[in-house]
Amino acid sequence: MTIEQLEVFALQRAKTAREAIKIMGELAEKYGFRESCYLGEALTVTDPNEAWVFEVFGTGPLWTPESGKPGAVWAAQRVPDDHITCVPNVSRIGEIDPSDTENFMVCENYITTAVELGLYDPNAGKPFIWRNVYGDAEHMSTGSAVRLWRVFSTFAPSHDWKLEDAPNYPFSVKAEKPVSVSDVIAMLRDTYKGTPYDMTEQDPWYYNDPKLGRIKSPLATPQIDPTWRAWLGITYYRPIARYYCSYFFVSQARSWLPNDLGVLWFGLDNPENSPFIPVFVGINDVPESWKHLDRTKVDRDSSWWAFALVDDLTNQYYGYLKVQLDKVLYPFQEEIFAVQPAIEQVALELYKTDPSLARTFLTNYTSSVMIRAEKLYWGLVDKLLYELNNNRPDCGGYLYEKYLELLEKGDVECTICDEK
Amino acid sequence: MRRIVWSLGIALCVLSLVNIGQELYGLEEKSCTAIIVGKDASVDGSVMTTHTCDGWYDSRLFIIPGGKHEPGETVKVYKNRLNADNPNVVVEVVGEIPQVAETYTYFHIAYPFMNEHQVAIGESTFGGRPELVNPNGMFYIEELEAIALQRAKTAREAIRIMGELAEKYGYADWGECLTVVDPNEGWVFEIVGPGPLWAPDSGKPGAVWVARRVPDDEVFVSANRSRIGEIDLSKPDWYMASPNVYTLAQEMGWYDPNAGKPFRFCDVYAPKESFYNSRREWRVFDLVAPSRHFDPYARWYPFSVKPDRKLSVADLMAINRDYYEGTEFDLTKGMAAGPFGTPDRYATPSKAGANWERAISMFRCSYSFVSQSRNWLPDPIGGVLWFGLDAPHATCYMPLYCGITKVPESLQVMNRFDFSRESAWWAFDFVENWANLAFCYMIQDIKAMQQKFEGEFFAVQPAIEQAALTLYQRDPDLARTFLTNYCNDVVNRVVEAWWKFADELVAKYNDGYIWQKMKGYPDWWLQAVGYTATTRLDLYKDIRYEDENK
Repeated sequence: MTIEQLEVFALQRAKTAREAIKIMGELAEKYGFRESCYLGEALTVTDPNEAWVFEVFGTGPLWTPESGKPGAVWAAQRVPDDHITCVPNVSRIGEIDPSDTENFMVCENYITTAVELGLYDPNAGKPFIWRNVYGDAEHMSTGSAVRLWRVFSTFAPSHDWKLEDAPNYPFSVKAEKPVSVSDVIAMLRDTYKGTPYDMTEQDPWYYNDPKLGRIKSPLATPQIDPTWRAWLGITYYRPIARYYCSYFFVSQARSWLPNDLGVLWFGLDNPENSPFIPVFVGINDVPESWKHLDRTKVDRDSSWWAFALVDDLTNQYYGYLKVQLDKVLYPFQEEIFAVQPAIEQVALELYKTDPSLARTFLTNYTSSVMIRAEKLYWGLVDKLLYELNNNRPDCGGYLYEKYLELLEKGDVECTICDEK
Repeated sequence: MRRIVWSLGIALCVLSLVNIGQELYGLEEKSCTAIIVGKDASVDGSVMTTHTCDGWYDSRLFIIPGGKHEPGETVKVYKNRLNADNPNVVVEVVGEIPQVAETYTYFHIAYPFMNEHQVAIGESTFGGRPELVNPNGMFYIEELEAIALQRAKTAREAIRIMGELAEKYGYADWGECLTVVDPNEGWVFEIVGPGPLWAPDSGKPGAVWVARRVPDDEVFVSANRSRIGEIDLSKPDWYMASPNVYTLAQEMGWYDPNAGKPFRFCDVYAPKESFYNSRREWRVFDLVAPSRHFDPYARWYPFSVKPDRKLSVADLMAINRDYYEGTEFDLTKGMAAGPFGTPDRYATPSKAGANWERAISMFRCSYSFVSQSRNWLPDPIGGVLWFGLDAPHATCYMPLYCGITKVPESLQVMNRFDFSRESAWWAFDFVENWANLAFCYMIQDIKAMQQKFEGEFFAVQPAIEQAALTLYQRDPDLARTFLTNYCNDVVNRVVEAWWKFADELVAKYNDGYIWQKMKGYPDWWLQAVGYTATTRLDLYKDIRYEDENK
């Protein structure tokens, strides 16, 4: 069973995070874990009361369904209520205490399988560190390390987190300030601005202008792909927000509200450049354009394409266009945040007398925000295409703000303009 | 509703010594019904008014923002702006008047209908004596409405503003009735022209007008005839009028104070007797106060009545949708209704005295509304205009709060010579027209759609308003944004659903079937049209023609 299949069954069968983990663990053991993406998988599993990290690995190529042996190893560790954690494509569970059932759930075979596979020597006198044994976490990539560093140092800034120490970071850390939905959203949008790992600040983006001295190219972008990195010689620090992201969410599970009012702040394509839309758990449907996607052709009836194109186009002249995009994106997002408490208050009122009406209300609300966002972004696609068009009458979008300013003052010449 | 071409108006003026107004009314191609419900006559304390705009009028809806103005600014006054969507009509600027320091945001449509302070206006043309019409006046009724909505915070202010402007610059239109309401009270404003002798420099009032307040616990209706009778200007909380209200009638010889008969505005300035009008007056009063057993053939009904039970927005929508169902005038019955009981009676050249029965809901309605003004809510939330396009019986009423800042473009695109799926009006108009193929069936589908959407809007209304109120207390602009988004979502959803519905009706009722199953015709109708006459075997003659090629 693949990880996404385990998720489907868990969501269909579980009322709590612990139930979900138990269901997935049992299914994986019984039917065998099949890698769908890349080796082991971690899931963040939460309910209105607690949060767990669930990790699962296969048991090697020799396992068969008929062997009578478990077809997976899995473990889960609870995140303390006042902690945060992050799973950046690397195993995170360390030492396991199976007797501490409040904080750990683990398959019975987690040590024997490792011994059988030659991954762990019980006689070597070393503790069993799950993430090192199964996940090779001591050799985590910089891409994983830098994300761990960013999340931990954002939410627990008083520690002296070092990037190179990332493999030794604790499983989770106490949040120094209570964390809000918008804090987490900001984290998902993050590209390390203001840190040493901001790729837009690396030397190759800078050049000497005869008048301005050393300036940064408006082409500098954190959403740079491997070809460009290789050509420019950019050192890669994998940002949290990526251009190739398909979709993203921040979920909000609250024990004091009816389940239908649980929220998934959901969006499409790159979280850096797309809005987070409140999708309530109790809704009955979403607009057609959010259920339909063909990546093999641009499709104006598919909302994903609007967000994907805005992200791609913005990235063509990031230095010039990102600030402009933010002037559209952030007010839209702020308005959604501002209205949210009122929407929830009303839904709750309706829920008390007529849950089905509350669901209709929430369905219409979520759907209206989706449609507004999608329309907004299709409008942006056209505007960005115009900005990038090099035949536009006002000299083209490649003239970034500073340059335009100097142009107006007559400090630089518009050679392009002369050619018109 | 009005606007008979000028040549006809002038011809009537020439013949004006004889009151031939009645013939004019036989030609009514347009007209409206408007209702007022006082705050103690409504279930929730709303003051409500309605308007069914029954003819070709500009149904595009625009929000005209208010603002502060500099001294010296002026406002243009137009003629024909209410037909601005008609490519054959020329909209003219007929005057310019000083602007005021501050104007309010309002909904602009053929007959502008609500502003940001919950002042709402319905309209119904009553015509009046043709000789009162004086084309030298500057103002047509819709222009008075627009300016009143831009300048007034209350119904009384609106009436005073319209009265003063009409007196000062002259009223060029036919006799008109407006229902003018605010969150506290409802007034009826009736106005006629100043007669042939008035000129802008005559120094005399350029209009005759009168206004009467509707008691808070009563219901008023106007159905294209003047409804204000006796007036008592010693009670300014109940009556208002122009200074010439008695004198002009005396000058024209229509009223003799010494004749011992009371002065009745409607009889003096706009005498009219026609079932075209009285039937609707009867119907509204009979629906709201059945206990009074009003006679449908009475010549005159009271100005207003106390309803047997308090009325809701839904009740007024039902009245707007009425075509005399269940009465002896029921338009869905009889030969004229055809085999499938349509209430639509299309216009036809009129023979003297002949007319179809005239219901409140009409196929030719451009748009209609039911408004709510509520004194316990902030204005942007308290004022709701339930807006419907095309015939009320086939429309869906959509809530538009008076504090919203934009409406979808589909409400602003309209060309009657070019059917377009970009235009919301065409969706409703198409469904209403298509329904005539099998009205008694399709009206059931239509009612189900109305119930689905309007039912939802009513059900969530308290919640929406609670949310808006919460936001308003923190940030009024955010409340406006929230309501704007809500209303735009409602309109977009309804319009999209109505087009899908139209497509479904096309398939469902194709070729006289219902989903390809035979529905046939009613027996009474088959008999009436002689269905069996040509298929009886006893009609054969005993003749056989042999095959010539044999």
